[in-house]
Amino acid sequence: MLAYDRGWAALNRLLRTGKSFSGRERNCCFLNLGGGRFADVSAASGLDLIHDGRSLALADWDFDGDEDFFIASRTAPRVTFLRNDVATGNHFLALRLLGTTVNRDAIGARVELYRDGDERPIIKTLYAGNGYLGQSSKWLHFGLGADVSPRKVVVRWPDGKTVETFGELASDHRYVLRQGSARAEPWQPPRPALVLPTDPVPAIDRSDSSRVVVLRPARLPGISVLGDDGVTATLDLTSRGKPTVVNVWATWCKPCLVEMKAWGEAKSRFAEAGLDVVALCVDDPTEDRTADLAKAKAAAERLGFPFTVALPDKSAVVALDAVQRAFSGAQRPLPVPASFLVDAEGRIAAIYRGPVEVEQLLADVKICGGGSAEIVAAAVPFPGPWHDPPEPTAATTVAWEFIQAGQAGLAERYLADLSSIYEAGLARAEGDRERWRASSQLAGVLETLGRLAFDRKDAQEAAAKYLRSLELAPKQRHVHLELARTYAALGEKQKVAEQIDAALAIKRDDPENLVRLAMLKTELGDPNAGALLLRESLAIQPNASDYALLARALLAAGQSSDAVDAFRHALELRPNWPPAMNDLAWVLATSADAASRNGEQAVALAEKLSAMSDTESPSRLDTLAAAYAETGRFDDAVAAAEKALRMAEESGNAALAERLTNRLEGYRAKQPYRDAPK
Amino acid sequence: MLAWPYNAVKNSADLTRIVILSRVMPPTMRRRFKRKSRGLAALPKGNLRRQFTVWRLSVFFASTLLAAVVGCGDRPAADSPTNVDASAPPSSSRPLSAKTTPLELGDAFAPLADVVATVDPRQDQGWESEAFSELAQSRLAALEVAVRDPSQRTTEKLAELATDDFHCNELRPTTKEVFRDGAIVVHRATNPDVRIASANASVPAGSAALAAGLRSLSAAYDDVAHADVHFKFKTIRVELAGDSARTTSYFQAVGHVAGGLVQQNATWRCRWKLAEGQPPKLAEISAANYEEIRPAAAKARQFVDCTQAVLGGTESFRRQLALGADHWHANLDAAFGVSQHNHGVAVGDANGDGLDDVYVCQPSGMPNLLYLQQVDGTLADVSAQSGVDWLDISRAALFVDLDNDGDQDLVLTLRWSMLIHENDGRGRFALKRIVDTKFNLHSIAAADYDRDGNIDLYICGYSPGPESAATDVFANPVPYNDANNGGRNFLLRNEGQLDFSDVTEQVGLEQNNRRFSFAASWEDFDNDGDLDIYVANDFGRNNLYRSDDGRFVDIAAEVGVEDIAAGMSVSWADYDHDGRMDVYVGNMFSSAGNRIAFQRNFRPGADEDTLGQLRRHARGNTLFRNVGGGAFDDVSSDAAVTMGRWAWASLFTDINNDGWEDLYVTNGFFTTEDNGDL
Repeated sequence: MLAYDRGWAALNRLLRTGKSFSGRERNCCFLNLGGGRFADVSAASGLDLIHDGRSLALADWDFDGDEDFFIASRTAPRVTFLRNDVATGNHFLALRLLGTTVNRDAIGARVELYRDGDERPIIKTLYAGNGYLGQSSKWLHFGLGADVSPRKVVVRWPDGKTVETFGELASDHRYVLRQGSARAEPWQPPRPALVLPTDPVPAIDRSDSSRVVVLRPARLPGISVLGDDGVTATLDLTSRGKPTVVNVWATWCKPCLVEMKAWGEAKSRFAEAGLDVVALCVDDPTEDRTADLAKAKAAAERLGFPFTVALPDKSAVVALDAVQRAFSGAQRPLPVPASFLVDAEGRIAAIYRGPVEVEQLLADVKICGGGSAEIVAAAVPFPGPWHDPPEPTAATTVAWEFIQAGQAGLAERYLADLSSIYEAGLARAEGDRERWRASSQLAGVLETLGRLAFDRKDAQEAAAKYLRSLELAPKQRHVHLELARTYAALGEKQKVAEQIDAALAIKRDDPENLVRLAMLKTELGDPNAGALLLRESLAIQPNASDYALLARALLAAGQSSDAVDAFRHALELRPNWPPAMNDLAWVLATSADAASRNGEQAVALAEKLSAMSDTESPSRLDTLAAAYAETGRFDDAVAAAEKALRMAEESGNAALAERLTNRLEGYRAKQPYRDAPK
Repeated sequence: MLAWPYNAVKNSADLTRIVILSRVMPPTMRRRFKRKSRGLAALPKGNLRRQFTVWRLSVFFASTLLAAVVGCGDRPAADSPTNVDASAPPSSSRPLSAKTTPLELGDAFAPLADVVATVDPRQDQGWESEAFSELAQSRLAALEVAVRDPSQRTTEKLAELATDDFHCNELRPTTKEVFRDGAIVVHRATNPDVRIASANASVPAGSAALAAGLRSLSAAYDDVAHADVHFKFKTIRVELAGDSARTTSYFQAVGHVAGGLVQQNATWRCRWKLAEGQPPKLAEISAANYEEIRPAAAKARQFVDCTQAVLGGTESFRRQLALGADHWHANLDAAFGVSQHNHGVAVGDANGDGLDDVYVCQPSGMPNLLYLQQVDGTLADVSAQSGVDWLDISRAALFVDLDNDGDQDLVLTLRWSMLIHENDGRGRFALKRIVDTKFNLHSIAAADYDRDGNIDLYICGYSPGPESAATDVFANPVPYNDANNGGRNFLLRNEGQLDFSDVTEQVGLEQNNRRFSFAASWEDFDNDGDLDIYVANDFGRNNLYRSDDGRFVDIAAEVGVEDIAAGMSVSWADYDHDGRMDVYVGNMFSSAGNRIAFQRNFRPGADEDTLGQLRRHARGNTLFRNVGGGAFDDVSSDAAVTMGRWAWASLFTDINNDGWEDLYVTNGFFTTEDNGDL
């Protein structure tokens, strides 16, 4: 199960990062030769489009009497129109149905076409929606073959009773069949058949440059840079009072240099817009970082680049890479040049992979500090209405990208930073809605911090974070479960039970955790509660193993006759299941409650069990012995118990050996064994 | 004595499952699903199509191999800095990692590294058969050159590929014409049985035999030097035995001749000789089922791409549809969702002018497009005025007259909601009803199931939506080969006045209704006057609900049309003219799946049923012939229509107007810039 889910996660990641997968496949066409076996004519027909094909819709678009294809694809162009130019000399008939008493579109109508000489018709049904996500034209298109004329058409209207025949039809014509009219009305297309040109399509699958507007601006992670003064410090963009573009470049990267030159020339426009620039040079580091910085600055100077130049350290590049991975739908490595538009509060508003034009930057400065409606409008490439706009990517996703990059420490630092900002924001928040939003954001950050603390085996801190998260946002079922796991690591069973209980209070329909809690309750000395929970779980999801667990809880609670019933249920669902057979036999043989005992059945079960298995186990022999004793077969009981005792001693199971020794004494004294009543 | 424990996983202290899930999942994911957040996830989850194939998934259980279909590790980009060209800035951004190796960006897959590492079969212990199959496939592909160029067909050159005692039967055997229309001719081998010439002095052996075989193949082309012949192999079986091996591959060759393309299809069974440290050599080729498709005349016409003529005049085509999904994902915040691009296309007359129009569904952040057909057959974009240019992720749309007022209303599935729009008669739509569900909606199939004159809607809910996802942390299909934890499908009864009520349960359609349904299609398969419905489900069994006067019973198992596979699409037609509707189901085909699922080390210990289901998952599409009396035969293999590659849409359509329904299949999963896939 686990490996399976991890497999899915890994594959998702591969796809999002651009790994081809069953790609470059060509669409297929199978020609019906009429004899049962189709011929693969995919290439010969011209239909073997190589796009990632998805949906398909048909229509005789050019009115030349055959069906043309609209195909929606994943790769470019995302819609293709393939014109059927197959010249066969075959004829056609096209029909459009109109319902009067049945539904107006006559969807579901069955049409039977009889050609001259046909005893059996060609049949078609009018569909609305078939294939995959697609809908074809409501014109029913019949191929007639060569040298045959249509004789009549029988329409079975979709009311299950009306059948109507239409005659006087000619090949290569179109008719409207109106329900109840008994006459096919000829329909003329508004134009003669078209010959459409086959010009190439200017399709682009992907571009190296991209721009992503971040739906909810997220804090730029702390970036350590070597500045002019030769001191490495964290780049603080939170208190500049104006937006900044953080640019990533290299001296060997010509597009970077072209971009920097253009920005330098637009210096005064940047100033007018109140936009600052910090350019981070990612040339290979040498031993002497001061010299590296001097080299980068010299290169910038030669370009007339008037803005700050600094050298990032390794973690800074990891951080920037994580940020762009977090927000871009298509994950690709961080390229040079790349730029990050950071607003006056130090939050990333937009990410550019590849060069960005001055005009674009100056336009995007306007979204810095904007409201969410303005940002959403800027984030989509084309306008339109939303039924339900997307929830922004949470800032915690950046931390997840750090974790993906194997940088849990950076993730924790980023989140810690975020949590103090969110705490402050929460303190300032006014109104229920704003407070709710602020607290749920903070709760998410704390939860992730909890996980990270747990991962580095600090369960105490993890528990503290989870508790605070739940305080801010109660009813987080998964956090309760995380906390349960944390308490489990701390060995605090009572608290584990409380947390699972809390999770169940949010979602009761959860067999796995119902059972988990049942086991805990039983273990913690409340088998009655355990049994109740197990019954609840079994009502949702009956299964043998939970019935057996229920039986055990009932035994612990001293309800042996109910336990016998539960074992029987388990064996109904899973016949011949050895542990349940053994346990049932044991209870039937040894229960302190006489009404629950049945020696004959116990023997039958225990003997069947021993016949089912090639090897003997001391515990099963123990059960068999107890069963014999209950039916008065004390010699057999003694023999089985002695054998069990030998085996227990050989395997060093002293506890069992001791119990067997005691029981043997009883059997030799002709006394069946009784489990102590609870 | 009592046995204990029944099931280690049920141990109360064992919370490992949660522990590890938290490692593979972005911490923010659950939150995002938990809120009513429309599941716009950093890693797509709810809407997963199978991200990888059964063989590999299954192998995750078994332990190893992500093998052949991904077939690509995380290769570092290898562009050299000299590729960076200042004159072409947009195309020159270069992965930073290539230059800044000292910075060591870290492994982006770190938490999943062990899983991702299994993508290379050569690194994967126990899957030598996959490594061999890769080699064999490349050796077969090398034959292409020898067909195109006689100078590469010398015995010396071919000696590298063939053993000294190599034999083959006629690679292009004697054929007879089995089909001809005005466009194409189909030839098939007169004797489809494989006969290998026995070794005697008169029959050449070794590389001479191979040269002769390839020469005969090349004789299909008038002028092979200019035919641009391409080979394609799909290897579906591998058996390794000591120093020899056998493979079975689908062979396809395509090349130009006057009048069009020649296509050669066959199944090649090959025997190989293996020697340490050397590439494998061919010892035998037996070509079966040879089929050759040729143009019927020097100027035969086929399908042609007229996309540019029909759509190229619109700005929305040039700026939106002409760019692939990868481009848009790189330009949108991940919050918009990274889909596999399952978006539909619908044809219908939106403005009532008698001409069909086109509606295109788009991914989140891109507006849906309504195009009206002009009298000259071109399309004009009226999206902005249409009222249906939603930016929400959109799956499928249907034009149907829901209120019987003579115009085409529009229903649309967004991710969790269905929108019902009323047409004002001129192609402007007003949103009238919103149906919110908890499921990830896909195809819609409309029909008047209760024959009251109003069109009802059946909607496929593929996977659980936000609320369920918040609780069932990983909504991955379980078990892969027979999943029953998917979404709910709905039947909405049209009550008139555009009011709808959910009658799913009431009419019996709640039966087996938690599958991963992609598509459905109504049809009266038993010719009893009411409409039945077939539902194609991913990861397992399909449904055929028979209508008994509007009450439904799932009879898929009873009549043998469960088709346990990765179902994507449904299409009905009477392909054999017997008056009964047959059904074709689009599934996934995978050569890697075919190979791996038949290996001995594939899921050792799995029962035969499971193995059979997993193998079936790789087989491909299915054609069920309706033989009457409520029974169907699976005729897929005999009809030769299984190999539709990784299929999505499939539709019956009579492409050549001969009255026989042909089949078209769109396919291809994920084509990206990475070319490592197989």
